[in-house]
This record gives sequence, structure tokens and C-alpha cells, in this order.
Amino acid sequence: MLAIAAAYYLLGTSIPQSALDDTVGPRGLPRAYAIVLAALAVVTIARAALSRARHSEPRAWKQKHDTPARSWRFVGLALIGVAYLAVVPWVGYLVSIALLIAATAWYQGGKVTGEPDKARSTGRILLVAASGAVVLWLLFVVLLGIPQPSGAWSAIF
Amino acid sequence: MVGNFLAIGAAAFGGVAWGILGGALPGISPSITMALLLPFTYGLDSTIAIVMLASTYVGAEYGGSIPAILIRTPGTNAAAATVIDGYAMKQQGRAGEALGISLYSGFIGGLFGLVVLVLLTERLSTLALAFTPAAYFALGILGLSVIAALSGESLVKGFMAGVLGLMIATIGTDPVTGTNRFTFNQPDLLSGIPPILVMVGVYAIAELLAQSADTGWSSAPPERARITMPSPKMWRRIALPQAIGSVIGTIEGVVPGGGGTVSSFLAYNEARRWSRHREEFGHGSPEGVAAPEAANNTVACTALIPMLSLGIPSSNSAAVLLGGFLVHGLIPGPMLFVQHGDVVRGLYVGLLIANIAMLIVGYLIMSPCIWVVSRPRPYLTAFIYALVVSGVYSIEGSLFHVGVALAFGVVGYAMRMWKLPVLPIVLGVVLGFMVESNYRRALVLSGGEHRIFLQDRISVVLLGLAAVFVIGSLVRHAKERSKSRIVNH
Repeated sequence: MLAIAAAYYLLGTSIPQSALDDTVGPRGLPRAYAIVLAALAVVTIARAALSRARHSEPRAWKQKHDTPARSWRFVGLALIGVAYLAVVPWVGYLVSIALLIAATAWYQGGKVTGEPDKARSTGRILLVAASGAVVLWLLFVVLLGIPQPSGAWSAIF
Repeated sequence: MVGNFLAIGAAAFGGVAWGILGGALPGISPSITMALLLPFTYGLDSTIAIVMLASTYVGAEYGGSIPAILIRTPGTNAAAATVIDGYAMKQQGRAGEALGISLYSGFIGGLFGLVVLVLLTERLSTLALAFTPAAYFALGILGLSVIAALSGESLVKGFMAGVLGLMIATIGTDPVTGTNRFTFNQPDLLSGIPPILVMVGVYAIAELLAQSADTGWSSAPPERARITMPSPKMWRRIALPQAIGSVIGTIEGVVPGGGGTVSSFLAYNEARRWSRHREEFGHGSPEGVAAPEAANNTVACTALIPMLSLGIPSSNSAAVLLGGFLVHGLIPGPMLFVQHGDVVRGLYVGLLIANIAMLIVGYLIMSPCIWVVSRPRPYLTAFIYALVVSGVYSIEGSLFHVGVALAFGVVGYAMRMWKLPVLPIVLGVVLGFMVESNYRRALVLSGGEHRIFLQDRISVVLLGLAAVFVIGSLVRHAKERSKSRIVNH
């Protein structure tokens, strides 16, 4: 948070001044917000340090067990979204949304253990992805009349 | 006129159906259900869009009780109290009766909340014409003071999240001079970051990212249940707990930070205290289902009172509804009733239809709802993810917006990990523009004198309320900390 406050403050100094500036100006509140955030971050750091110094072992144990389970799997799911953004301008909505559904379903079923009969089925994933993409395309483009990215090949054909 | 009424009715029915479905999915809260719908409402008429969102809220509060009763998993936080006796009734083979009591009690609570909403909101809004820029600034500060009540364990973390939201609100063109701020020469950032992207990101996408740790093909076992509406004898028995739930829901809905969860547990506790069959509580008491369900559906209406009249969202769901208003260029608060009275009246009619629709749709949607709830998680996650990215693109046809929403999804996930509350960042983004523009306008009018905020009577009252609110929360937090210290020693 301290780093965010510092970066925001520095970026705020580059806001150009204008002849129309009022007493506060466009830099005024951003600077104030950065200072308040930095102060709150310092308070948090100080409180954490004090608390660690007071009860080092039990606190560490408590914090470890109170924090929600961390998992880096979220990165994979976020990257599927990023990949969708990279692909959709080229291949268009229908194909890329089907790919997104297939990739997400595959990724979320990727850690099946124990029961072999419940292991992920590629055929089932592809079927769900294709039908899901068609349902969404019908919903957005046909029913609601909201255009979705058509892709690079729409310019070719 | 008739066409408009039919459109409002259709929106109410559609919103309730979507709400019940979303609320029935464990992990998908009413605010997430609403956030998922938000992008779809962009192209709709403003009244229809607002009715659809508010009806989703009504439907989701009931929907949460379906898995609570059938599979002992509350679909929403507010339905946690319903699990206690609802699931016990299901084990006794009375699942249909429990669902009927839940549906009927939600209907009663919703109607009661609607009456209170209509009676109170209009009166509060009569202050509208007396608002100056100083008063609007003070109103924004009062709205931000809600953070103090909603910060959970740490006030400092709540304030940090709130300041982050205010920082995000400064991106774009300066409201007074027109200077570009934090835009990095990106044309997409000139008009700032729309609050809807932050909401979809920190609520819906962050929830999907959080669920990504939960892998496997597991699904809830399919259940069969048919709703049985309560008999006249049962009506009489659950009348008192419904009344208790409705009154508690009214108070908790209006008070910032209250919300459906607190009200359902309070209502459950009070219903138990006033019951003649106290021994049945925890073992399948119909009153134990009626009180919390009446309470959380009352909240779905009364939470709109501070949001509509003062522009202050008192809960996550109210904040998302506020986002819906902003998307359609409607500014909730004092001037809404003057400039867009038709939208407010449409909302009242829509909520009335939504509560009636809940009875019909709740009955009809049970089977498809159970089918959807019992789908394997990976497919559900994949479909919701696809729905979110498609919906966000629909807002302005911008892939940049989809990227921004994804980025806020990661931010929302990180906030969960660091135990930073999410609502303050949303409040900051929503209220940031109002606070800054009116603060600076007031200073321009006063020639740079800050005394203007103490000379305007409305401003003084609102700032005083904000101060009382923050100080009250600080005192409460201090007491809780000292209590926990004593317990630890």
C-alpha cells in the first residue's frame, strides 16, 4: 500500500497545471489521497510490528490459520481471460468464447483424483463449450441485439 | 402506458427468475447475481433496467434458501440462519413445507419492506431542492462514513480500501478544469473507469478466481422437492415470527452495515425468544424458517431507502443497484425524485410485481433451479466466466473494458487474501466524483473559504452525522479489541 501511495503521489505530480485551476486544483485531492493512504499503511505496518513483538509465536500461528487458503490457481483462470482478450480480435466471438468455456472447464476439472470414472472427458468439455458458445451468441447477438467481436476473418470474407 | 406496465412486469419476472437462480448457487451472493446482470441492462430502458436489478435482489434473497433447505448449504449469507431449521425440516421429510414457508414469508417480508420504502423514501427526498454543492459534498462524506461500519475486523483496512476507491475515481478528466489525470495517453481512460467495471471485477470475477482453488467434478446430489404452501393453521403460527422478521429487517435495512445476514440471525433469535414452541428451534421449527426469510426479504426493499433518497448504498447489493442507476445516467439522491420521478414510481410498481412474481416463479422454477445447482462446478464456473466477459464487452463494445474488469477481478481476489473489505473500494469509486466535484465547486463559490461547509445547515447536519458514525464505530472497535485482549490473556 505504501508503494501504491508513493507511485500515485509521483504520478500526481505530473498532472499538468491549467490556467483554469481553482484553489485546490486537479492535483490537490490526489495528493491528499496519497498522503492518507501512506499514513494508513504506516499505521498498519506499525500495528503489525507491535503485535508481532508482543506475542510472536501465538500471533504467527493465529495469522497463519486465520488467513484464507492461498492458491495460485487463480492466476491460471485469470490468464484464460487474458488469452481470450488476445484471441478474440482475430478469431471472433463464437470461437473464442467456446475456447474460453473449454479452457475454464478443463482447468477447473484438471485436478481430479481418486475416481477414474469422473475424470475429465474431452468430448464432454467440447460439447458443452460449443453449445455454451452458441447459447451466449444467440442471447447477446440475436436476442438482445448486442454485437460481439466479429474477428479478423470478417474483413476477409 | 399498458405497454410500459407489461415491460415492467416482464422485467420483474425476469429479474426474480435470475435472482432465484443466482441466489440458489452457493457462493453467488445477491450482489454478484446483480453484478452479473448489470452489463445486460445497459441497452435497456432505464426504468426496466432498474426494476430488473431490484427484482434480482428480491429473487436472490429467496433463492438462497433453496440450497439451505435442500443441501444444507446457504446459497447466500443471509440464508445461513434458514439452514438451522430448514434442513432439519428436510430431514424430517418436510422439505416442501419448509420451501413453502420460506417463499410465503419472503413474500410477506418483501411487501412490508415495500410499504416502508414508499412511505419513507419520498419524505427523505423532500430535502432535495435545498442541496448546495457544500451539502452534496457532506452527503458524499456521509456515504463514505458507511465504510466505518462495514470494515469488518479492521477500520484501518476499510479506510485503506476506501481511499483506493477514491484514487480510482480520480482517473480521467478533472471535473473542474478538464485536465487529464492518470490517463497515460489512453483515450479509453479519458472518461475514467466506470464503477460497473470495478463492481463486476471485485464481486463477480474475484468470486470466480476464489472458486478456482476448488477443483473437481463434484456436484450437489440432485434433490426432488415440491413446494407446499402453508395451511391456514400454519399461517397463524408463523404470523408473529414474520412480523418480527419484518420489523428487524426494516431497521437493519436502513442502517448501514446491517444487511440481510445480520437481520436474519437477529430475527431468528427474537422469534425463538417470543415463541411458544421454543424447544422446536434447531429441530425443524417452521418459525425458525419464517423469521429469517421474512427479515432478509424485507431488507431487499428497505436497503433501498438510504440509496434512493440520499444516494448512500448501505449494502453490497444496494451498491450494485446504485451502479445500475449510474450506468443509466441517473444520480440517486435528492434530485432523483425531481428529475426522474417516473423511474422511482416504476421501481415501486416493479418491486410490487417482483414480490408477487416471487410466489409464482419460486414455485415454477424449483425443478430447473435444482438442475442448475446440481451441475458440475467446472461447467458452471466456465459458463459464468463466459457470461461475465461477454456482458462486460456489451457495455460499450470495448475489449479494453473487459481487460479492466479482469484486472479488478485480480485486485478483488488480492483484497480477499489480505482481508481488505470490498465494499469500501466500491463506495470510493462511486462517491469519489461527487465528493471531489462538489468540494471544489463549493470552494470556488466561497472564494476558497472552508467555512462554507459549516455555514450550510444541511452540510453541518450531514457532516455531524458522519462524525458521529465514524466515532461510534471507532469506539465500538476499541471496545471489541479490548474485550478480545482480555479473553486472550
